[in-house]
Order: sequence, then C-alpha cells, then structure tokens
Amino acid sequence: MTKEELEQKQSSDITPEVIGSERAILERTWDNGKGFYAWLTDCNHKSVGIRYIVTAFIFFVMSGSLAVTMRTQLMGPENRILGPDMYNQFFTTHGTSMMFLFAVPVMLGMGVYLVPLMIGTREIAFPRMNLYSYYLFLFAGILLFVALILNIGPDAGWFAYVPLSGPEFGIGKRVDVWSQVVSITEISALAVAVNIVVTIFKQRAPGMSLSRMPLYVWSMLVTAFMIIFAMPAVMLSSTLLSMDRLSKVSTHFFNAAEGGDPLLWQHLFWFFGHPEVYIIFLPATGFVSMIIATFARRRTFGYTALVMSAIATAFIGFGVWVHHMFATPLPQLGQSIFTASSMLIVIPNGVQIFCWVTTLWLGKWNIKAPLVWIFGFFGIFVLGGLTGVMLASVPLDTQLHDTFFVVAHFHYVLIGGGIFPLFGAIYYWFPKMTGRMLNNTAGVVNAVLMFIGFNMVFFPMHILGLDGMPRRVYTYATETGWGNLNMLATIGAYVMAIAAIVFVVNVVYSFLRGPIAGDNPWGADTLEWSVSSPPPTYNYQYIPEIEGPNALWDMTKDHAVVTGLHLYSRELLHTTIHDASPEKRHQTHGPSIFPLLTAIITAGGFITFMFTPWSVPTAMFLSAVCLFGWFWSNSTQHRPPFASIKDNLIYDDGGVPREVAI
Amino acid sequence: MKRRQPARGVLFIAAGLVASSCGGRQSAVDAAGIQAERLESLWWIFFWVTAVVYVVVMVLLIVAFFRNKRSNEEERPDTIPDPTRENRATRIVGGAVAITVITLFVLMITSFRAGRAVNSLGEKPPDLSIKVTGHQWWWEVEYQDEGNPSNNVTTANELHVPIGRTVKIMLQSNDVIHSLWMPNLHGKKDLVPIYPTTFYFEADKPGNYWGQCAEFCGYEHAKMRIAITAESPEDFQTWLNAGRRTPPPPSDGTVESRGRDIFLQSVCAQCHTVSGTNAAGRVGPNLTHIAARPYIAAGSLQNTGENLEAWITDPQHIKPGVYMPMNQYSDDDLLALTAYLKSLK
Amino acid sequence: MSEARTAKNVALDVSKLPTTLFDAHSALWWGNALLLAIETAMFGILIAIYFSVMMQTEPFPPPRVERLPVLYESFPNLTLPIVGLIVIVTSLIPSIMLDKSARNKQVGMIKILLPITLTFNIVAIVIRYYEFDSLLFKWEDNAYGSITWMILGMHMFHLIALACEDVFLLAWTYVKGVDDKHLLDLTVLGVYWYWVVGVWVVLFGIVYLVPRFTL
Repeated sequence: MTKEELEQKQSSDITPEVIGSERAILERTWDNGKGFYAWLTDCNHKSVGIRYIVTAFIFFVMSGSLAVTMRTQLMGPENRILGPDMYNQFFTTHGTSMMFLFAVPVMLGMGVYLVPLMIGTREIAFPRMNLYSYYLFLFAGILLFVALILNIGPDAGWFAYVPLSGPEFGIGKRVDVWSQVVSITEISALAVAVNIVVTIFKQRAPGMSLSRMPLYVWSMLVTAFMIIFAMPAVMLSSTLLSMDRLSKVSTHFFNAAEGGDPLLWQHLFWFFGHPEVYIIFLPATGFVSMIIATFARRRTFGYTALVMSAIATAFIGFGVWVHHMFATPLPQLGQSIFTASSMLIVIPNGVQIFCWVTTLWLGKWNIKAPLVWIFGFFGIFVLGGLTGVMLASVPLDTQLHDTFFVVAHFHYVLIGGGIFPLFGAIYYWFPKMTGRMLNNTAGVVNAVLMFIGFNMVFFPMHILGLDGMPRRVYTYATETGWGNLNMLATIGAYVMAIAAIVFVVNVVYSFLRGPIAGDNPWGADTLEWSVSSPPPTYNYQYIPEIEGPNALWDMTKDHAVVTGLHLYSRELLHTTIHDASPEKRHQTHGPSIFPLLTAIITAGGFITFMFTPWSVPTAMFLSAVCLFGWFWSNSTQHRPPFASIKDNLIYDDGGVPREVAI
Repeated sequence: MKRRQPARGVLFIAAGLVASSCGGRQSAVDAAGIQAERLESLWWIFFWVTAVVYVVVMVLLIVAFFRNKRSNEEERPDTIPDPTRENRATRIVGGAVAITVITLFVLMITSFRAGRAVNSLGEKPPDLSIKVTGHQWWWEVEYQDEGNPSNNVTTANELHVPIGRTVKIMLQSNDVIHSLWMPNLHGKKDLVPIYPTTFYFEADKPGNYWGQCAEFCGYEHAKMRIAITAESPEDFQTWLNAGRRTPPPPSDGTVESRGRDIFLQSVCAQCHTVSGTNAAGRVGPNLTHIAARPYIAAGSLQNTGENLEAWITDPQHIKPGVYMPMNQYSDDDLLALTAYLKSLK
Repeated sequence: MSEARTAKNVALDVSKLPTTLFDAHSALWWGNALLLAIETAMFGILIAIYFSVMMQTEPFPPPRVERLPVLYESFPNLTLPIVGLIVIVTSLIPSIMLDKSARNKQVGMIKILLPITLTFNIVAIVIRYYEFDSLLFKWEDNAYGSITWMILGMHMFHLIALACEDVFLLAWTYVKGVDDKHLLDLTVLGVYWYWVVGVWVVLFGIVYLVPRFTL
C-alpha cells in the first residue's frame, strides 16, 4: 500500500459532530480505570513517566540529605558526627543512589513521558514492559535505603573496587546489596532503552522524517543506544562480583590468588561508567536545545551539527574509560591513547556549546525560569568540562586523581550539565504534565539560590584537591588547614538544601493552586504543545502530519491528520523509519497486573541471590510462569485471522464482525 | 549570563580562603622536587588556557544578555532565519571549533612532553631504592641495599630521602588497592595486588612533607598518612645508619627492661617486630626505631608518651576499625611499656 | 496550534493498512533485535574476560591440581561438545522451516514444526547439562573454570529461554489458533533461534578450539 494510495485527499469528513462523538468513544476505550488496583496496573506512558520522575526526586532528596550530613561531618577537622563506618556507607549510598536511582531514572522518566508526545503517537512501544521497568527501579531503591537503615548499606564506594569489595575484605552482605541494586536498575534501564528506540523508530507521526525529529528525541535515541551497549558490562560485572562473594558459589573472576585480576573489575566497571555519565548528560543536552529554541524564539542553530555531536559523543564516549585508571600500573603508551580520546570528546561538546550560544545570540529572549536554569547550566557545565580537559592529561591527572578536585569536576559536569537542564525542563514541562504553571519568580529564585549554593560547595573543592585532600575521607587533620574551605563548602550545602526546599514548595503549591496553563503557554514548537494540558490518555485524537522541521511553527491550518484508526481498540500508527510514511496500524495494550508480578519475581530473585544461588533457577521458573500469563493475556479481540479490517467495526472473540453506530 | 555581582567583601574573604589553603606541606602547587615542579607548571598552563576559554564564553553570554532584544510567548518565532546571518554564524562557529581543536592539540602535546619529562628520571640507575608495601591502614617502608640485604632498614609510615638524589620507589600491596600520593614531590601511583609497580622521584627542597593514601581502602583510609622528610645526603645517611643499628637492650632492673618484658609477654609481639628481641610479628608496623618517628598511627597522632598510652590502650577510639585490639594494662605497666618504646631510638 | 478543530483538515485515512507486517516493519521484531544486541554486548564482554584470563594464566589452560587425577594437559574434552554443536546447528533446519511456514501461513506445518524444534531444543539443553563436565574444571577452581562455566551457563540460559518461548507458542497455536500477530511471533522466534545458534558457534570456537589449536 503506497503513500499515494493512502492519501485520499477528499475534503474532510471530520465534522464537529464526528469529532465530539469519536472523542467520547476514544476516552472510553483508553480509560485505565480508577482506584488502587487501576493505579497498580496502569501502563500509560504518561502515568509511568510521572511515577518515574516523582520517585526519582524522592531518592534525590534522600541522597541529598546524606550528602548534607556528610558535609556536616566534614565541616571541621576531626569531627565526630559520623564515624568511618557510617561515613563510608553514606558516601557509597549517596553515589549509588544519585547515579542509579536518580540521574538515569529521571532522564529516562522524562523521556518516557515526552518522547511519545513529541513524535506524535498515542503510547509508548511496549507499555507493560515500561511499567515493569518502573517497578524494578522502585524495588531497587527500596532495597538500597532499607539496607542503609539496617546498617548493611554498601560501603565500598559507588564503584566498589576489588579486592576491597571482594569476599576477603568486603565482609557481610553490604556489597551484595550494591550488586543487586545495580543489576536491578540496569535491567530496568535497558528495558526502557529498548522501548524508546522502538517507539522512535516506528511510531513517529507521518512526515516526521529523521531529519525533522526534535533534538530532544535525537538525544534520547542516542542515549538509548548508549544504554544498550554500556549497561550489560556493569550488570555482568556486578553479577560476577556477587558470585565471587557468595560462599556457596565462590568463583574467582577477581581473585588474584586463583588467576583472577583486580584490574579487570576496573576495566569492566569504567567501560560502563564513562558512557553512564553521557547517558545522563545527553538527554540534558536535549532539554537545553528545546528550551533555548522556545525562549530565543527561533529554531536551534546547527541542527545537523548538534545531531552529529550527540552521535560523536556517544561513540567516543565508549573509548575513554581508561582515563579513570591513569594512576594504576597500566602501560604508559596505552594511557596516552586515552588522553587523546578524552580530549577528542571535548570537540563535539564544544560544538554543542557554540551552537547554543549562537542560537541565543541570534534570537530574541523571553526570559523565564526555564531559561534562567539554562544560564546556570552554561556557567557551571562549561567550567566542569574544562576541568575535564585537565584530568585528561595523564601527568596532571596523577596529581588530581582521587582528590577533591575530581569530586568538584564531576559535580560541575553532572549537576551543571545534567541537573540544571533537568530543573529547567521541569519548569518548562510541568504545565504540560499537570495543567498548571509553576511560579516563575520562585523558579528564578530557585535557580539563583541553587547556582550560588552549588558554587559555594564545589568551587572550593578544586583548591582542596590541589592542596592535597584526597576523596572519601571521613575526616582530616587540623594541621592540614583544610578546615576553612570545608566550612565554606558545608555552608553552601545548606544553601543548596534551601534551594531544593524552594523547589519542592513551588511544585506542591503550584500543583494544587497554580494558574491554569492552557495548551501552549510558552508558544513552543514541538507537538506535545498542540494537545491539552495535561494531554488526554490517548494523546492525539487525530495524529497530525508534519510539514517541516518546526512541527508547530511550520504547521498550516489545513494540515493533514490521520483518520481511520480503530475507536474501539487501542490503536496507533506505525510509520517507516526513514521518512515516517504510514505503513501499518498497531494494537497496543491496556492495564495489566503482570508487570507488577514479574517485577516482584525479578527483584525478589536478585535479592535472594545475595543469600543462595538457588534463587536463580527459582526466579527463572517463576518468571517464566509470569511471562506466560503476560503474553497469554494478549487479547485476540480485533485481531481476526487473515481478515481485512474495516473501520468502526467490533469483532467479538469468535472473530465475527458487527457494525456499531457511532 | 546571569551572575550575581559579588560584593567586594565576599571577594576579599574568598581571596583569603584561597590563600590560606594554597601551598603547604601536602600541596600539588608547592613543588619540592623537579618533577613536582614540572607538574605544577603543567597545571598552570592548563589553568590559564582553560580560564581564558571560560571567560570568553561567559563574556559572550553576558554581552548577549545585555544587547539582546526581548520577546514573549506571543512573538512570532523566527522559522526562516536570514541566510546571510546564518552563514556568517556558521563560519564563526567553524572558526571556534578550529581554535578548539588546535588548543586541545597543543594541550595534548604539552601533556605528553611533561609526562615524558617526569618519567625520564627512571632512565638512569637510581641512587636509592625503597620498597613500600601498602597495608590496611599503614605504610610499610623498607630501604633496600642491593649488595647486602641484611642492611635493609624497615620502618613504617615515614620516608626519609636525600635531596638532589634519584629515589626509586617499588610499590606493592598486602591487601586491597592503595595509592601513594606525595603531592609536593610526585603524582600518585596505585598499589594494586599482584601488580608490583615502580616510580622514580627526586626531592630538591629540604623539609617535612605529607603523603596520604589516595585510593579508598576501607574504614581508616582517611588516616593512612606518611611523613616525608627531605634532608641533606649527610643527614640522610646519619638517619639510615641509625636505622641499621639494633637498639641496645635496656639494662636489667630499669623500668625500660620491665617494659620490654611486658612487650614480649603480651600480644604486642604477635603483630610487631623489634630487632634484637624475639618479637617478630609481621601484621603491624616494625617498631624497632619507633622512638625516632615524629608520628604514630600512620600520621594520626604526634609521637608523645601520652598519645602512645592512649593508642596502646584504645586504638579503636582514635582509628575505629583498625586491626589493633584494645589492651588493658595497669598504670605502672603502661608507663613501663611506653618507657621501653621511647627507648627504641 | 490545536488539534483538528475545524472541518478544514485533510484526512489521511489509514483504515486500509494492515495490522501486522513482518521483520523490520514490526515493533516486536525491533524489540527482539535490540534485546539480542544487549545480549551480544554481554557475550562480547564475557569473551573479553576469557581473553583477559588467558593473558593472565600461564600455561593456558592451567594444570588441574584441585582434584585427582592431576592433569597437566587440561584442554576441554571435545566429544560431548561436538555432539551438542551438531544438535544445535541441525536445529536450524526445522527452525528455518518453521520461519517459512509462518510467513506462508501454513498452519498445519506450524503445528508439526513447533514440537520438533522444541525437541531439538530440549536435547540441546540436556547435552549442555552434561557438557559442563567436559570443561574438566569446576567454577570454583580458578578464574579459568569460572569464566568457562559462565560462558556455557549464560548460553544455556538462552537455550532455556528459547524453549520457554517455543512452549508458549506451541500452547497458543494449539489452544487459541493461529492469528496474524502470532505468525509474526513465530518469525521473531526464528530470529532468536538463529542468534542462539550463531552465538554458540562463535563461543564453541573460543572455549573449545582456540586453546587447543592456536596456543
């Protein structure tokens, strides 16, 4: 069936009466129910996305509280607020939860919410797997924090180097908790990555070719591919570590005495660990592109360059991992190659910065809270990127590695490059998600306070690192003279905490009583702003055809819209990958209890794996049972064997069609 | 770009804070050796280049902030930008990228050359070899005498080096990964089990410096320090010769001899070595010349009688998690024990 | 700009489009392909670990001293692995036929081939269960034992998952009958099958042949 045959450009039979009655049917078909059970089984991408974001922010606050406590311990020399055991659990949990339970999930959650809307489809590719991913993430987070409360929190650092984390020195179950949290969250993220790629490949609105995709969608596509190739490494290595540690298994992957290799752990971990930070950063670059375009009132400058930069960053990002190992006994020549690649990756990042600055230079600014957060992004991320150039040099890194200089660097790039755009994105899309505006003045205050607090905490750390203060120390001697700058950093931490409180208050208040937003309060360009705020469950009653690179700004009054999708089943449109021409209709799934059941089995399997290897076959069997139920519940309704499909007909289970009046 | 203009007072405080923490006995920007100097210059080159880049980008944004016309949500967006301006912008961005590439290339070459220079000390034979073994949470230091291994001097948590001489450090780990970092003298190097490694350094300014473990190694990673003394070759040789001598046993009937008996009869001898006695434990630091050390407990405490007593009685209070157990002694016994230890010069 | 609120919008009528297309036109195919990409990355890492152990272990494979009799030449036995390889590669025949029958909508053939492929699969799993002993080491002996068991074990996991998928499609076909969507599922099962076989050919070469014939 060619596009020409499809395009029956008759004068429309979309009359106002038809629109209204069809909408009523769609609302009923796509309704997910109310009540607790409905909430447990609701697979709608917007519901799952919001749950991801809210849960991630709860972990953010918990992890941030750990950080504030750590800063309180470090504010003066020889402090006794946290002993070494508690401090070690705190910094490990802080790093683990920020990386695995906040940064990646929140970026994925935003993607899960925004990508289907932005590309003009009604649901994500695999809705039940999406909900499954969320539950896995939730269970992993509960595992980590419950362990910390029970004093068996992991304590070997968020990268758990062997032999310290191995069976000989990592006593008890602490590191096993870490391993399972990592394994569970990585499965969750991998499943979301698959979902995002397939959604972007197959479900874009007609006319949204790859070169007309919003830059945020590009960044999520590249991020998803990075996840697919990076996360298996850490999942595998954390499982191997668990097996080394489990006394009934007792493998020797990292046991030097039996042919294993402690440096192997570092290679495996950082092969994942470096792409991981780009997995956090690339979606943020998507936010920056979107926000700058809207608030500079022009298309982002350098679309092709920005897409190429994202792809280049992803590729090169897999080739820099040894720069985390410059102090180890690896051969010099090998290390120098990684200096070259680590400096090479600065170039696409530079291209991105230049394109954004140019967009701002050429545009006309509407200064609102989202844009102010982007200003903060520039101020902080650029500095972090530049300290990264310093760390890329092997000899210079031998002085800076494992000191507070590195702590400063990665907080500058992760908070400046990831979290500031994230806050901007929350202020930007909150109206779409909830139908209400966040208070703009509070938003600006939020950004400024966070900027000041952040710099108070982390700028002094550059100096502390140069002055000899190593990382991961629960205290330091008075005579080092590090007390003053540490005190300044601690005060800054409290300022950041106040900024976070401002944010939470703004969100809660605006959610309850903020001004009503309307469809497109920012005058923005992407498709999600063409539907109501919040969008209907099915997103688009009539999926629009895209006519140019600016989805809404180029949209003409009589643009084509898709008709002919079933009203009585959850149907959406699949298009071709390259130029997004319609090719098939797809039946998607409604609410299901199986994602929750399967997630309980998966998480339970990993948790019991800390104690016995028999959990593996047991969990495999139980998962097979759950998945059987999951797939068996695929409905045969509206899916008659080999019959042709006609509009507005219902098929009963026997496959017999009957017409229904609208 | 929106930045608060800091008040002058804040600037002064900031400068003061920076100054109070720059330089010192554990600082990478207070070089006391030729290699550390090379690394420090490398730092300043990178610092100034990146600072200029940062300032340029920020200035561009601040200028854009002030010269920019404002708009609002209603304003028609610019969907067909003026091609002339776009082309000019493309050329400017292209130029900026070219400058970035060249700058990075220059920095990379500078880095390679500095690295080669720092490592070049290892090309000629060293004047002194020292083996450093990392333990959870102390440094075992053994001065090597190639011709005559019985001349090896074993000490702990301290390093004496002669200035102007090439010192070879051989690193290995007894348990987990540690990292020896002496910022005034050299970059850090990890001590990884089954991967013995070596580096060479030279101290040029006499003085006392600190090194510290820089790879998280467990509970007391924070208190694993090493005291470095760089001194003239003559002073160094005096110190080394003193280390080679076995301390004479205390005369009978003295409080020191009673202390020695207590030492040998209690658990001390199971973990510690004192040459010239039967104490040959290898778990904890060698105590043969403990009285000559300025610090105990890997740099956590000054080496005074009071601190010794506190450490022996309750090491867990000072370094919780350390492998040394608590020890209960009567006051007299404790005094005798510390008197004995203070006699081990 | 709001959704179609006026009667002026041109209609793009998609009601005649099919609901199922095969291969890269379907979301399920892509989901499966990406999951296989993940698993390939995982096997890639396992192969890298294998070579890392090889570089660390001199001689390779190490002599077996953990149990009697002591073996100085400890290359894995080849007999059972070769039988297993033959079974796995031969299973391609019924699975290719199954793939073709699905595309040609031949319900009868599908109903015969599903049990046949399942049988091949189960035989392969049983052989694999006994194949671990051919490695001559246990997973807890040393790093070489650990990595070889891990490689065989992870692949066995896929043999089992494949069998479960086969069982499921068997049940659906016999109980609910064949429909468009499940014809697609059968072709996707085919892709998974080819991947399991292909990956095993590579892993077989690395675990069983490389030490014996190249070192």
